[in-house]
Amino acid sequence: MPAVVRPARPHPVFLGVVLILLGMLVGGCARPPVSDPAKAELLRQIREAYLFDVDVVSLELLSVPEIMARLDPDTHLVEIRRRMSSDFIRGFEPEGSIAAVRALGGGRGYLRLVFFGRRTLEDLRKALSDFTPPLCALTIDLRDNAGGNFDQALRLAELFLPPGAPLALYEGREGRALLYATGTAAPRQERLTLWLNARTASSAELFAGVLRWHHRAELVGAPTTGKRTVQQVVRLDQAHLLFLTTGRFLAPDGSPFGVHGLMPDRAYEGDDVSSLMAPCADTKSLGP
Amino acid sequence: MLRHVLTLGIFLALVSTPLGSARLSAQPKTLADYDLKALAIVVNRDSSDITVIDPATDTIIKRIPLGEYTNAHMAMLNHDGKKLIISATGRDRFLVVDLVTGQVEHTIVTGKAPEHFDATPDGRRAFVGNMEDSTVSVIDVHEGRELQRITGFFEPHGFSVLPDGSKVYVSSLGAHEVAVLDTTSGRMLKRLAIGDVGRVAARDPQRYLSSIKGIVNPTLTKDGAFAYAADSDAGVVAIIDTRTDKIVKTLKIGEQPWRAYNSPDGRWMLVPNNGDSTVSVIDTTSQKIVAQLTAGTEMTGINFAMGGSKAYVISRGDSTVYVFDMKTFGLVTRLKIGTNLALETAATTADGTKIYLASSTNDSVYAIDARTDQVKQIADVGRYPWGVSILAAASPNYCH
Repeated sequence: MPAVVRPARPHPVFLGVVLILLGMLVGGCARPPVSDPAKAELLRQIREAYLFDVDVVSLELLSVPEIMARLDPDTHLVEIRRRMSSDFIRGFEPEGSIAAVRALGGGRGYLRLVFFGRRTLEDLRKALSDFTPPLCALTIDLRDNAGGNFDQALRLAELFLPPGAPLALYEGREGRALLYATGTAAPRQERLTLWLNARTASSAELFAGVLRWHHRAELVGAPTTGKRTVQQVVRLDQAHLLFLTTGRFLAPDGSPFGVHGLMPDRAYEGDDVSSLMAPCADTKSLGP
Repeated sequence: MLRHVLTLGIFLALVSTPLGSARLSAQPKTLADYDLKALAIVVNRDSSDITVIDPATDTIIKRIPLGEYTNAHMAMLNHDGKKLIISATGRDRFLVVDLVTGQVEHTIVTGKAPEHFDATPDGRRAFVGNMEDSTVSVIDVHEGRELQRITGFFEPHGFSVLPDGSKVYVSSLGAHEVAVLDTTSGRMLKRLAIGDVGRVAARDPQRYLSSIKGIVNPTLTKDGAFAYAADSDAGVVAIIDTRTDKIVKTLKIGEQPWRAYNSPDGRWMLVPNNGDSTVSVIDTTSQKIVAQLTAGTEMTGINFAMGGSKAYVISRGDSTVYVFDMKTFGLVTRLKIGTNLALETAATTADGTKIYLASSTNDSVYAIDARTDQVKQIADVGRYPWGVSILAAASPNYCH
């Protein structure tokens, strides 16, 4: 008698594996919960504040580094530096954004503006008040100044401009806003020379661009970097800050401050600051 | 013969009495003989000890060693004045010390680098900020143990427990937020976002701007109804209603505000702005800025004296104390304490007539008589005195 052949039934384990795989497939199509708080915060910031249009849904399955790689090159993730020396009080660390302040004779002065920090405006005011007699001409060295605090750059430019002067157009997600000088003090009157090079960037370009736009300063040196975006800083997790691009700055009339960076009024490759500007009595004023 | 004996006896009696009295008066007082709440407690960071000063005589009456490498940051008496509670930053510990005996009763393990703290009014619990791992230790002071270690902060720097002891406000220096904790359960009730770092345009942010300067301290009004939190990056003070834990107002003040200091009568909050060397005066009734005072650099503290009629603004950067009249907001005088001195924090005596100010770089405490604005140095208090506190102080104690 031949054996009865019954149709094979799937093994329960095999069925279980198939069901699990099916579940993963279905689950993969749905939005998975974001379990990483840093990633959740990053996606939230992109959704709410990022300047450029991006499909946030397409980013949700990616890791934080993968997401960052898809954003603009000016958006950074920065590791937090924590100085734990006991010799300072947090918040009181010397900033050092103004350096090499010196008189050049003939009523001229020089200083190096290393970066735009939190106290740069106050430090600059102090540096200028230390010159006796007061200056009639000032060279501000912005070479290698990679930028920094955007609002400080505007406030510094205001020092040399009348109240109410338009400074820059800020373009964010909500649209464009014209920024004005809001200070009430009379503007400083020194003849200004701004020294630039290829590493002058960002807030330094904004500062120089605003003053040149108002014909308030002469730019000398080499063309600048051409970075015009502005970032907002957010604490992403215990170890990282997110600098997210949320805007860009333009000249008050909407044109860029230089198409590919600022072009100096006068090329100069040397290193002799005293040759950059003539003593005061011999030179025409570059007032507004 | 009898006459000689009598004469000798009388002579001996006369001579021995002063000697006896001298012996009695030479018997040293112990701390138990003092009003502990009136004593000035100085924490010396580098000599790892506590110095106790008697304000009645401006003399050092005790030094309490805390153990090698303790590097204590903040010390204050508990509510009944009998115990010192101390953050031992160098050893990642919290200490409870009997003030009279000087014995360390409890050594409690905390997170990394504990600095500032506050305690509930009953003295039972302390909330300690561990700056290096950004945690908060909840300490049972009586039992001498850590009950909880709460995560999720960013350099928890400032602590204020409500007068009813129900909640504690914790400000993060490394973020723009104040957290609200339930003091019984340690549960995080709310996180309040305050201020921001502003806009940055930099090609290389790692070089100069890879940190946030957030909130040093959430300062409570005298009745505890509001907390004033100054955000350094944003240049604002947020006023938090502690009944609802909502921000009811945000005031733009000066550049890089440090923290708010409340006047003893509760009427004013003074905020030094270290970015522009001014002090903003806020009326707590109207919640408006009523004056902007010009002071010094690196202002680390404000003490009120003479019933709150004078405010002493400590400028670490200028080695100077700026004295203001709180009726006219005029500058009364500048007290140049010395040259290149790092003035730290101070405490006001209970009667409001004196201020004791730590000066770290010359190991001294300066006693300022608020009646005359005369200054006296108390030298060699210990190495690198960092702060002074007085339990019954007429002006709120603080640390930096």
